[in-house]
Amino acid sequence: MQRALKILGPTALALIVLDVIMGLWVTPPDEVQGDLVRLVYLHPALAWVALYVAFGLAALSSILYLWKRTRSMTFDRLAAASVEVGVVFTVLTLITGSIWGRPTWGVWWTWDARLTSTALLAVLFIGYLALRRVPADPEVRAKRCAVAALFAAVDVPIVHFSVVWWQTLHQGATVLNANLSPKIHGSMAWTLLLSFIAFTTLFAWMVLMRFKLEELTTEGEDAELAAAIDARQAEGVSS
Amino acid sequence: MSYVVTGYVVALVVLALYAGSLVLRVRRAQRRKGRSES
Repeated sequence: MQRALKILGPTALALIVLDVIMGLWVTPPDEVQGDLVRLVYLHPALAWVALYVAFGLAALSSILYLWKRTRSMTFDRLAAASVEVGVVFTVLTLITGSIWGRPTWGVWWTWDARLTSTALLAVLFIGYLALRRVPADPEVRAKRCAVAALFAAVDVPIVHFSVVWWQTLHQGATVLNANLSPKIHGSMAWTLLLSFIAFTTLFAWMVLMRFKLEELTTEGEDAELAAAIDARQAEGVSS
Repeated sequence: MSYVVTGYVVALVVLALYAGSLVLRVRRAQRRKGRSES
Protein backbone atom coordinates (compact mmCIF):
# COMPACT_ATOMS: atom_id res chain seq x y z
CA MET A 1 0.00 0.00 0.00
CA GLN A 2 2.89 2.36 0.80
CA ARG A 3 4.26 1.97 -2.74
CA ALA A 4 0.84 2.61 -4.29
CA LEU A 5 0.48 5.76 -2.19
CA LYS A 6 3.91 7.00 -3.33
CA ILE A 7 2.94 6.53 -6.98
CA LEU A 8 -0.69 7.70 -6.83
CA GLY A 9 -0.11 10.98 -4.95
CA PRO A 10 2.38 12.64 -7.36
CA THR A 11 0.55 11.14 -10.40
CA ALA A 12 -2.77 12.64 -9.26
CA LEU A 13 -1.12 16.01 -8.63
CA ALA A 14 0.54 16.04 -12.07
CA LEU A 15 -2.68 15.03 -13.84
CA ILE A 16 -4.72 17.69 -12.03
CA VAL A 17 -2.17 20.40 -12.86
CA LEU A 18 -2.32 19.29 -16.52
CA ASP A 19 -6.14 19.28 -16.41
CA VAL A 20 -6.21 22.84 -15.02
CA ILE A 21 -3.74 24.06 -17.70
CA MET A 22 -5.74 22.36 -20.48
CA GLY A 23 -9.08 23.47 -19.06
CA LEU A 24 -8.22 27.11 -18.42
CA TRP A 25 -5.76 27.96 -21.21
CA VAL A 26 -5.49 25.34 -23.98
CA THR A 27 -9.09 24.38 -24.83
CA PRO A 28 -11.22 26.90 -26.78
CA PRO A 29 -14.31 28.65 -25.37
CA ASP A 30 -17.64 27.08 -26.33
CA GLU A 31 -19.79 28.67 -29.05
CA VAL A 32 -22.85 28.81 -26.75
CA GLN A 33 -21.47 28.79 -23.19
CA GLY A 34 -18.29 30.79 -23.83
CA ASP A 35 -15.70 30.42 -21.05
CA LEU A 36 -18.21 28.79 -18.69
CA VAL A 37 -17.60 25.52 -20.53
CA ARG A 38 -14.25 25.35 -18.68
CA LEU A 39 -16.17 24.24 -15.57
CA VAL A 40 -16.99 21.08 -17.55
CA TYR A 41 -13.38 19.97 -16.96
CA LEU A 42 -14.10 19.99 -13.24
CA HIS A 43 -17.76 19.44 -12.31
CA PRO A 44 -18.62 16.19 -14.21
CA ALA A 45 -15.38 14.52 -13.07
CA LEU A 46 -16.14 15.39 -9.43
CA ALA A 47 -19.67 14.01 -9.87
CA TRP A 48 -18.32 10.83 -11.52
CA VAL A 49 -15.98 10.15 -8.61
CA ALA A 50 -18.61 10.94 -5.97
CA LEU A 51 -21.56 9.05 -7.40
CA TYR A 52 -20.15 6.09 -9.24
CA VAL A 53 -16.63 5.47 -7.92
CA ALA A 54 -16.91 6.43 -4.23
CA PHE A 55 -20.45 5.36 -3.43
CA GLY A 56 -20.17 2.39 -5.82
CA LEU A 57 -17.10 1.20 -3.91
CA ALA A 58 -18.86 1.86 -0.59
CA ALA A 59 -21.89 -0.19 -1.68
CA LEU A 60 -19.74 -3.03 -3.00
CA SER A 61 -17.64 -3.12 0.19
CA SER A 62 -20.81 -3.11 2.29
CA ILE A 63 -22.25 -6.04 0.33
CA LEU A 64 -18.97 -7.94 0.77
CA TYR A 65 -19.06 -7.22 4.51
CA LEU A 66 -22.67 -8.32 4.90
CA TRP A 67 -22.09 -11.54 2.94
CA LYS A 68 -20.89 -14.06 5.53
CA ARG A 69 -18.41 -15.74 3.17
CA THR A 70 -16.45 -12.56 2.55
CA ARG A 71 -17.07 -10.82 5.89
CA SER A 72 -13.99 -8.91 6.95
CA MET A 73 -13.35 -5.67 8.80
CA THR A 74 -11.23 -4.65 5.80
CA PHE A 75 -14.42 -4.12 3.79
CA ASP A 76 -15.96 -2.10 6.61
CA ARG A 77 -12.88 0.17 6.69
CA LEU A 78 -12.87 0.45 2.91
CA ALA A 79 -16.54 1.50 2.90
CA ALA A 80 -15.89 4.08 5.63
CA ALA A 81 -12.89 5.50 3.74
CA SER A 82 -14.80 5.60 0.48
CA VAL A 83 -17.84 7.35 1.97
CA GLU A 84 -15.80 10.06 3.68
CA VAL A 85 -13.92 10.91 0.46
CA GLY A 86 -17.16 10.57 -1.52
CA VAL A 87 -18.89 13.15 0.68
CA VAL A 88 -16.09 15.66 -0.01
CA PHE A 89 -16.49 15.09 -3.76
CA THR A 90 -20.31 15.30 -3.55
CA VAL A 91 -20.19 18.63 -1.72
CA LEU A 92 -17.74 19.94 -4.34
CA THR A 93 -20.03 18.66 -7.12
CA LEU A 94 -22.89 20.69 -5.63
CA ILE A 95 -20.73 23.82 -5.15
CA THR A 96 -19.19 23.78 -8.66
CA GLY A 97 -22.60 23.02 -10.18
CA SER A 98 -24.05 25.99 -8.33
CA ILE A 99 -21.23 28.26 -9.54
CA TRP A 100 -21.98 27.14 -13.14
CA GLY A 101 -25.76 27.45 -12.62
CA ARG A 102 -25.73 31.08 -11.47
CA PRO A 103 -24.58 32.63 -14.81
CA THR A 104 -26.26 29.92 -16.93
CA TRP A 105 -29.67 29.49 -15.28
CA GLY A 106 -29.73 32.75 -13.35
CA VAL A 107 -29.99 31.03 -9.94
CA TRP A 108 -27.52 29.53 -7.47
CA TRP A 109 -29.93 26.75 -6.60
CA THR A 110 -33.20 25.31 -7.87
CA TRP A 111 -35.18 22.31 -6.64
CA ASP A 112 -34.46 20.43 -9.86
CA ALA A 113 -34.63 16.60 -9.69
CA ARG A 114 -30.86 16.13 -10.37
CA LEU A 115 -29.80 18.77 -7.86
CA THR A 116 -32.24 17.68 -5.17
CA SER A 117 -31.40 13.96 -5.45
CA THR A 118 -27.67 14.79 -5.32
CA ALA A 119 -28.16 16.95 -2.21
CA LEU A 120 -30.16 14.10 -0.66
CA LEU A 121 -27.28 11.73 -1.44
CA ALA A 122 -24.86 14.03 0.38
CA VAL A 123 -27.18 14.16 3.41
CA LEU A 124 -27.61 10.36 3.44
CA PHE A 125 -23.88 9.71 3.39
CA ILE A 126 -23.21 12.41 6.01
CA GLY A 127 -25.74 10.44 8.08
CA TYR A 128 -23.62 7.32 7.45
CA LEU A 129 -20.56 9.13 8.79
CA ALA A 130 -22.54 10.23 11.85
CA LEU A 131 -23.70 6.64 12.40
CA ARG A 132 -20.05 5.49 12.42
CA ARG A 133 -19.38 7.79 15.37
CA VAL A 134 -22.13 6.26 17.49
CA PRO A 135 -20.32 4.15 20.14
CA ALA A 136 -20.89 0.43 19.58
CA ASP A 137 -19.12 -2.89 19.33
CA PRO A 138 -17.00 -2.78 16.10
CA GLU A 139 -18.90 -5.64 14.48
CA VAL A 140 -22.31 -4.23 15.37
CA ARG A 141 -21.24 -0.84 14.03
CA ALA A 142 -19.88 -2.41 10.82
CA LYS A 143 -23.13 -4.28 10.16
CA ARG A 144 -25.28 -1.26 10.95
CA CYS A 145 -23.19 0.98 8.68
CA ALA A 146 -23.15 -1.54 5.81
CA VAL A 147 -26.96 -1.60 5.83
CA ALA A 148 -27.05 2.22 5.96
CA ALA A 149 -24.61 2.48 3.02
CA LEU A 150 -26.76 0.18 0.90
CA PHE A 151 -29.87 2.15 1.82
CA ALA A 152 -28.16 5.43 0.83
CA ALA A 153 -26.76 3.91 -2.39
CA VAL A 154 -30.33 3.41 -3.67
CA ASP A 155 -30.25 7.14 -4.39
CA VAL A 156 -27.33 6.76 -6.87
CA PRO A 157 -29.42 5.36 -9.78
CA ILE A 158 -32.12 7.93 -8.94
CA VAL A 159 -29.53 10.70 -9.38
CA HIS A 160 -28.29 9.13 -12.63
CA PHE A 161 -31.71 8.69 -14.23
CA SER A 162 -33.26 11.87 -12.77
CA VAL A 163 -32.59 13.74 -16.03
CA VAL A 164 -34.41 10.98 -17.95
CA TRP A 165 -37.32 10.33 -15.56
CA TRP A 166 -38.19 13.97 -14.88
CA GLN A 167 -38.11 17.21 -16.85
CA THR A 168 -35.07 18.91 -15.41
CA LEU A 169 -33.15 22.10 -15.88
CA HIS A 170 -29.95 20.05 -15.67
CA GLN A 171 -28.87 18.81 -19.09
CA GLY A 172 -28.68 15.11 -20.00
CA ALA A 173 -25.51 13.06 -20.28
CA THR A 174 -22.84 14.43 -22.62
CA VAL A 175 -20.80 11.26 -23.01
CA LEU A 176 -22.71 8.37 -21.42
CA ASN A 177 -25.99 9.12 -23.21
CA ALA A 178 -28.47 6.54 -24.51
CA ASN A 179 -26.84 6.39 -27.99
CA LEU A 180 -23.31 6.40 -26.55
CA SER A 181 -22.47 9.19 -29.02
CA PRO A 182 -20.45 11.89 -27.22
CA LYS A 183 -21.62 15.48 -27.79
CA ILE A 184 -18.11 16.82 -27.21
CA HIS A 185 -15.09 16.55 -29.53
CA GLY A 186 -11.42 17.37 -30.10
CA SER A 187 -9.30 18.94 -27.35
CA MET A 188 -12.46 19.51 -25.28
CA ALA A 189 -13.23 15.77 -25.27
CA TRP A 190 -9.63 14.86 -24.42
CA THR A 191 -9.52 17.36 -21.57
CA LEU A 192 -12.83 16.02 -20.25
CA LEU A 193 -11.37 12.50 -20.33
CA LEU A 194 -8.20 13.75 -18.63
CA SER A 195 -10.28 15.31 -15.83
CA PHE A 196 -12.00 11.97 -15.20
CA ILE A 197 -8.66 10.15 -14.99
CA ALA A 198 -7.06 12.87 -12.82
CA PHE A 199 -9.83 13.01 -10.21
CA THR A 200 -10.23 9.22 -10.14
CA THR A 201 -6.48 8.92 -9.42
CA LEU A 202 -6.80 11.52 -6.68
CA PHE A 203 -9.74 9.58 -5.23
CA ALA A 204 -7.66 6.37 -5.21
CA TRP A 205 -4.88 8.13 -3.27
CA MET A 206 -7.34 9.69 -0.82
CA VAL A 207 -9.15 6.41 -0.17
CA LEU A 208 -5.90 4.56 0.46
CA MET A 209 -4.76 7.29 2.86
CA ARG A 210 -8.12 7.23 4.67
CA PHE A 211 -8.02 3.43 4.79
CA LYS A 212 -4.51 3.53 6.25
CA LEU A 213 -5.71 6.04 8.85
CA GLU A 214 -8.59 3.74 9.80
CA GLU A 215 -6.16 0.81 10.24
CA LEU A 216 -3.66 2.85 12.25
CA THR A 217 -6.41 4.17 14.53
CA THR A 218 -7.74 0.67 15.21
CA GLU A 219 -4.23 -0.72 15.82
CA GLY A 220 -3.41 2.25 18.08
CA GLU A 221 -6.59 1.75 20.11
CA ASP A 222 -5.87 -1.99 20.43
CA ALA A 223 -2.30 -1.27 21.60
CA GLU A 224 -3.56 1.30 24.12
CA LEU A 225 -6.15 -1.16 25.42
CA ALA A 226 -3.51 -3.89 25.77
CA ALA A 227 -1.20 -1.45 27.62
CA ALA A 228 -4.05 -0.43 29.96
CA ILE A 229 -4.85 -4.10 30.74
CA ASP A 230 -1.16 -4.83 31.42
CA ALA A 231 -0.96 -1.82 33.75
CA ARG A 232 -4.10 -2.92 35.60
CA GLN A 233 -2.78 -6.47 35.97
CA ALA A 234 0.54 -5.13 37.25
CA GLU A 235 -1.36 -3.06 39.83
CA GLY A 236 -3.21 -6.21 40.95
CA VAL A 237 0.05 -8.15 41.39
CA SER A 238 1.75 -5.40 43.41
CA SER A 239 -1.20 -4.80 45.79
CA MET B 1 -14.53 34.06 -16.43
CA SER B 2 -14.78 35.05 -12.73
CA TYR B 3 -17.26 32.21 -12.12
CA VAL B 4 -14.85 29.75 -13.76
CA VAL B 5 -11.88 30.91 -11.68
CA THR B 6 -14.02 30.82 -8.51
CA GLY B 7 -15.10 27.25 -9.30
CA TYR B 8 -11.53 26.07 -9.86
CA VAL B 9 -10.15 27.88 -6.80
CA VAL B 10 -12.88 26.56 -4.47
CA ALA B 11 -12.57 22.97 -5.70
CA LEU B 12 -8.77 22.87 -5.66
CA VAL B 13 -8.45 24.58 -2.27
CA VAL B 14 -10.99 22.23 -0.63
CA LEU B 15 -9.28 19.15 -2.13
CA ALA B 16 -5.85 20.41 -1.06
CA LEU B 17 -7.09 21.07 2.49
CA TYR B 18 -8.68 17.63 2.72
CA ALA B 19 -5.54 15.95 1.32
CA GLY B 20 -3.42 17.88 3.82
CA SER B 21 -5.69 16.87 6.68
CA LEU B 22 -5.35 13.20 5.65
CA VAL B 23 -1.55 13.42 5.67
CA LEU B 24 -1.55 15.07 9.13
CA ARG B 25 -4.06 12.61 10.58
CA VAL B 26 -2.04 9.63 9.31
CA ARG B 27 1.18 11.08 10.81
CA ARG B 28 -0.55 11.70 14.14
CA ALA B 29 -1.98 8.14 14.17
CA GLN B 30 1.48 6.71 13.39
CA ARG B 31 3.01 8.69 16.29
CA ARG B 32 0.19 7.60 18.63
CA LYS B 33 0.61 3.95 17.64
CA GLY B 34 4.39 4.20 18.11
CA ARG B 35 3.97 5.72 21.60
CA SER B 36 1.47 3.10 22.76
CA GLU B 37 3.63 0.22 21.49
CA SER B 38 6.84 1.44 23.14
